[in-house]
Amino acid sequence: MPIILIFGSERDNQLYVSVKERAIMKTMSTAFFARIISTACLILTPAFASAQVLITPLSVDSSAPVEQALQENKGYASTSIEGQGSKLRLTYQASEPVTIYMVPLSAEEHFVPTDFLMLTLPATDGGSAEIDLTVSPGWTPKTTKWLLHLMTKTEDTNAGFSAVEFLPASTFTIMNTAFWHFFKQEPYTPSSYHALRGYRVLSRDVTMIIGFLVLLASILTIIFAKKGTKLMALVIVLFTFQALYGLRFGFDLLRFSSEHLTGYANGMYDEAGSVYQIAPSLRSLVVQDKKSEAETTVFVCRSGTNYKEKILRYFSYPIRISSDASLTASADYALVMNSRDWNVQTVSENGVNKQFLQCADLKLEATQIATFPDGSILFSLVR
Amino acid sequence: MMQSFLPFLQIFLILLIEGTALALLLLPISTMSLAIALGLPLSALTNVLLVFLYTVTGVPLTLISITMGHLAILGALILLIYLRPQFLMDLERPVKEPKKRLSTVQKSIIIASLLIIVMNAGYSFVHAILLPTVQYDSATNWTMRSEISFVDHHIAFDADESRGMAKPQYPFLFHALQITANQGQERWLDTAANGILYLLSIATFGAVFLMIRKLHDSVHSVATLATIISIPLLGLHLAQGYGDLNLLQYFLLSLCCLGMWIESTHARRHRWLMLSGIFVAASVWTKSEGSVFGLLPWLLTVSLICGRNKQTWKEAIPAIIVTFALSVPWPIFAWLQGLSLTPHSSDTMLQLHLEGVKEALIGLFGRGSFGLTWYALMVLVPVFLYGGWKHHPAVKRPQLPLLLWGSVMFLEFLFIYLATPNVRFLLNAESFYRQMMIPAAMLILACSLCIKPKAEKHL
Repeated sequence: MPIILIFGSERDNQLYVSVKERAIMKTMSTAFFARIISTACLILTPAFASAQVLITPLSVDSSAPVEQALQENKGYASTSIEGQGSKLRLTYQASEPVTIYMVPLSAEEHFVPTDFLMLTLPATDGGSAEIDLTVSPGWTPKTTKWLLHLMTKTEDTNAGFSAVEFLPASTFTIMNTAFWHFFKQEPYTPSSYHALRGYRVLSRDVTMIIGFLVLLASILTIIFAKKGTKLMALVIVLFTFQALYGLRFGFDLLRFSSEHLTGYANGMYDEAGSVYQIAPSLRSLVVQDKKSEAETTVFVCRSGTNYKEKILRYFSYPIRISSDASLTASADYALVMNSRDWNVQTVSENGVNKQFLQCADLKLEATQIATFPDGSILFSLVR
Repeated sequence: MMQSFLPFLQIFLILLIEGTALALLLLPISTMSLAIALGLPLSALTNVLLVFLYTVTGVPLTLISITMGHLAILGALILLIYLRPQFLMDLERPVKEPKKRLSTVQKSIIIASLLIIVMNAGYSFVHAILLPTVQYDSATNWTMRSEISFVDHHIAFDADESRGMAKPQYPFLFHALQITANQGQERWLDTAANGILYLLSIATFGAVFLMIRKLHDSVHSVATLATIISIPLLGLHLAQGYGDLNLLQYFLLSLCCLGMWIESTHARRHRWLMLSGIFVAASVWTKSEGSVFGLLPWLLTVSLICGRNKQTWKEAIPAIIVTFALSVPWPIFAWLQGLSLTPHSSDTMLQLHLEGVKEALIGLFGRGSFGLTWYALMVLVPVFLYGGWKHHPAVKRPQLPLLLWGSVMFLEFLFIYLATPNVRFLLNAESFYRQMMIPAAMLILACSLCIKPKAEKHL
């Protein structure tokens, strides 16, 4: 059963707000600077009644997680809401946690993939959640239309929203948000080597804003600098702007370095995931099974891009790594990696339990060998 | 770890000594530090020529063949130095800059520049040395092809992607260097592959710093280096793995040498031009773009510098001949092998694509790939040209032709992306940005060289 969105009448909403208002304001004043209630905590907390939770959503770097979530969750609904405010208060009930991906839309109904927010509403018999919208770099103090994707694990979820309210942003909130937007990290993805998204503050391109200032400063320098020093003054002014931007980006380079080192040490290097653990595991297996690397084939069961497959191929060469279904007949191993369409079935044949890996339309007799931190699973195939 | 490090160190030292010996024979006058800094960039070229020779003669790429080849080159160079010491460069003792009180502005420039360089250097070290390859194209066109070639013992020219390799039409200076750096390893070592490129970057930027310092001073030099490295997309590429960075590095070296040639009054000043041409030839061996965006604009720039001066043309012609002689084998080989001479087969279908104009403007002046770079260049380049025309005392007029290279390259790229099917790589944010960082860096360097220093230097 899909999620049913129920909105009460405007009068009901007003009444609801006025009854709760003082309690909410009090909650906000004490919790305002103690911001975050992590979504993990919310998931662990079972149903709560008539309480309010403050949610600081996670910022999502691209639309890929959204697409993946859409594939994985059985219950789904989408809607759009429009309003002006830094927080969104949802009054709702839900029999199980509801995952929401939401993104601000431009006037032309477009969205920027790095503007997505992800949050999970806890199950409740009746309560409300306030979502901090300013986390999205696309947030703006102006009236904005938001696209919401709502998902649940099961199809028979009962959920409804009785009130949707945008809470106005104070001047301090706007200024604070602009400050933190400027220091939001540049997204690092496999496509970053081709182009960088850049910094946005209150949905505005920072480069263009500062670029305009650069041109203005240049004109003023040329006009007001002393004769004979105009050129050097101009060079110094331009260098100053370039250096400040360079320092800002340099700060992100250090953040990338720290994150990637930590991720790699934990077996999860950015979007390559656990490829760097899978490759040596494959090689060890080949040696253990007394095979030749050049004559070993690993079938990759995946959905979406072939990015991880290509990285794994490089680190495993000359072991043949391929998602080509025609190779399964000769494949020695199978690797489930970022796949949304797979499962393992146990079938009893002549009193013997056999395991079968189902990957899309393929069915391969397989034995699970290893799992990796990014969720990849390695199977040995029975030929 | 030592088991892997020692063979790498041995190969690196052979390349470094070989390249330094070559630099000592090619430079007219220099410090040892510049000769050493130019060592690896030069030996990367001799390395690809050696690997090319082995490729056409069918000699397998093994530890023995590559090491012996380089030792033979080194031996020949040492013999030449021994027999003809007069060919050696004049050794220039490092001149200690007179201790002068730095102004607050100069101190601020130094601090900001060093911070930018340190941040970028730190990121580069972490991603090139401590972390493995993670970039998509690196695991296909670039380092993957090097690995396959290493295992095969010859350069791979796979026409399909069954082994994971793409773009057989790419020249292979990048790949040859990685293959050589892995000799002596039991199996392909990603760290060695990225490590040698990391060292190449250090050498290149070090050489650029030293050459600018010869023309100006340390403050000017470090500020120029920081300005170039502060181009955000360039900083990201310091993690290595893509040939665009190596192409850019060779262009910068070539441009610097052109600047030295213009300024030099030494009897053997023509050697700066020769070096410039050699680095352009190296760029032709690095990426297909090296010929159209390197060799061609270089020729135009040299022609502009020579003008109607017969004496200058006398210096230029041998350098042009040598440059062509070093460059031409690759396109001839590619043509004979039936490989495309351009990165993409549809590169020569001409048609105006106005839908790309808005995206190009947003890309250059918005988002994050270039930061404020193109705003600054949009102001500076016309100002320098105007200043040169008006004989402004702060503009070094003889260096102004250096602006031509970056400008021509910029226009060429715009043409490629707005007048051919390559517009798709602009609209889907692929190669446009990383190619445009090259003219950006070149124009920054050219502007820097066009600034007249307070104290004239004699080279």
